[in-house]
Amino acid sequence: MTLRALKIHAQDQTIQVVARASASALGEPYTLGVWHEWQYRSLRAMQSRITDNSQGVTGATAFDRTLSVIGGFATLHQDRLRGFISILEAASLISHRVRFSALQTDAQDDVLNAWATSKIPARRAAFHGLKSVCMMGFYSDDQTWNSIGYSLAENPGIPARLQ
Amino acid sequence: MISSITSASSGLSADAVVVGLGAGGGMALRTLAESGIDVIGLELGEDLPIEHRTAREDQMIPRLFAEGGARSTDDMGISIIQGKGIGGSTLHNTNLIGRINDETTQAWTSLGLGETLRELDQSYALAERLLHVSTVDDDQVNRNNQIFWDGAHALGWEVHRMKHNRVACKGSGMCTLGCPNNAKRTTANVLVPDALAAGARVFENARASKIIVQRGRVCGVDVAGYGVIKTGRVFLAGSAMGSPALAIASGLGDGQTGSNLHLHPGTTVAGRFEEPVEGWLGIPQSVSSDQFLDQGAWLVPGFAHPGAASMFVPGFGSSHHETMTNYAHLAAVIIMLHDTSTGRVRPGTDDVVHSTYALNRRDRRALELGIRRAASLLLAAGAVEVFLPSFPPVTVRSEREVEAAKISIGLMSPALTSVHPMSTMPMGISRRKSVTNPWGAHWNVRGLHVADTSLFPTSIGGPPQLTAYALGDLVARAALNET
Repeated sequence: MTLRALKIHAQDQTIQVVARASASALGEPYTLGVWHEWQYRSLRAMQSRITDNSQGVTGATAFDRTLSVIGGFATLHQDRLRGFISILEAASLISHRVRFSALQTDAQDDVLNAWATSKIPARRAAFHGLKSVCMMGFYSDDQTWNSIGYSLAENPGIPARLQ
Repeated sequence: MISSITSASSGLSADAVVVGLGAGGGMALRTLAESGIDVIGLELGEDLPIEHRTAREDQMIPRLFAEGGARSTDDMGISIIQGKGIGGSTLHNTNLIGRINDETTQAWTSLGLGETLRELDQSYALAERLLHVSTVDDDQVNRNNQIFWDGAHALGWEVHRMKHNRVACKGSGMCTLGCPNNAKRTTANVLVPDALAAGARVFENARASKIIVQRGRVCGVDVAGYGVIKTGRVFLAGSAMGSPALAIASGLGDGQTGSNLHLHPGTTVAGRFEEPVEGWLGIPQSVSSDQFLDQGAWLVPGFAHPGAASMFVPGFGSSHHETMTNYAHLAAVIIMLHDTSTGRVRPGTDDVVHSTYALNRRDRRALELGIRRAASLLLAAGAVEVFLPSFPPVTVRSEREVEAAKISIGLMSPALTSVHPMSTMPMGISRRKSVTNPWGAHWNVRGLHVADTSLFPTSIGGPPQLTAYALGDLVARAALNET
């Protein structure tokens, strides 16, 4: 294995090592390739803060779409995202002594903001990855589209079967 | 008829196998089939006929894009958007098309590729005819593109209308999600049908996992979930990411293969206008400016559907959505780098391709220049405020603020996107500095040809689609002349 291949391998391995340690600190199971219930809860908590719940889109709809988008990713990327959400869930243990999904919403926003504006590019990249799938689930909904003026039905170029 | 490789009978063999059916592979397949060669085309993704195109991001992105849309450089700093499916990236591109520019022609000529370029003229003409390449009409320039035009014109900059390959476009604006009206002329609806009619066999969901070489000569392709297809010739056309990854995974890496990766990495500057822009209506990109191309920055109008756009709007929660409520009033400019930076590609598991890439000083400067000038363009066109992609984000409202803005360029500042990987198995006249000869034939493996943007010896600073198509034809014709 070349040095560069080792670095690539090490990068993903680092994510997984930290994610496993996070799960362990939370007393939760961690398995590559598998969503555990606690990871779902954490992702759902994150999505409810990332997106604007006042738009009438049910959390369940946006969340299902997000899971569907993640499900289309290559396995490596699904594992990365599960790793990131696991690390996020444990990130507040030191600062707040409470896991992310159990924090008050203001405190959740503080944690997310710290990731979004972190001076560490890898942490910002992790935030960007999680934010992207949450937003894709939310902004793929007709209700959300209405709130920003986007529409398939009012687009004259869209064939009737899709309107 | 296109069928799944899993339903193919055992013991397939052919004179030639084309791996990857995007622009280059589709054209190579057609040229070989029409010359009477017994040829098989393999595509990693699926066939996506019109009834499968739903114009919805959450449904189309996982089906249209490599790695489900999650491909990126290993540091996640650059998202790499590449197509999969019968048609490859021709399914989701915005249909910008054109020959390489004079500067690139000179650069490639100086590398000893003058004869290749002369011969490429014939292939360019063929592709232009098959794909109905023409300049976008005046009445097809949408508001977002008109803003770009007006801004560039007000500043006295070079700006021109682009060429496209579409027929009877209804202006759905859904090019990037697979045209729901099938108006784009692509590998999927032009070249593959021609090839099938000429006797080619085409298989979807077929991931080539290894090129089998014995005594320096290709003798087959191993396909995951199927087995070996016997053949004496393989045309690698899995993109500048997939082709070198497969070559390396097959033990054909030579130090050069996979290096020299160029990406045309880009970012977007958005401006808010008082009047509605509604950039999703009509042809997404129809004009372009080469004003700063000699300094490394290529400017084109930008547009993204709501899901993709929302990823790049700073922040989250209600403040993020408040910005998104201006979505219909946003015009955008993409800065794509005509990059001299290089990266490297390595194979991963399944269809994952690893890559490393970092901007050099020249390209960091070009990116900063492009961001500032894109902001100038939007302000000149009447933007009320302009959002600069930087970390932290910057909003400007005047030219003075544009010049004073602190723009930080580095990893994830801003997050970059690439839609044009290239140059990872370059053609050339020197075995030491290239992977193939000037006709796409591998220097060290007989029967192995490269027929995609991997062949580009340099970044091209323009749309690569037509040159990929043309090289597919050229490489196939050259191989036919060998036999």
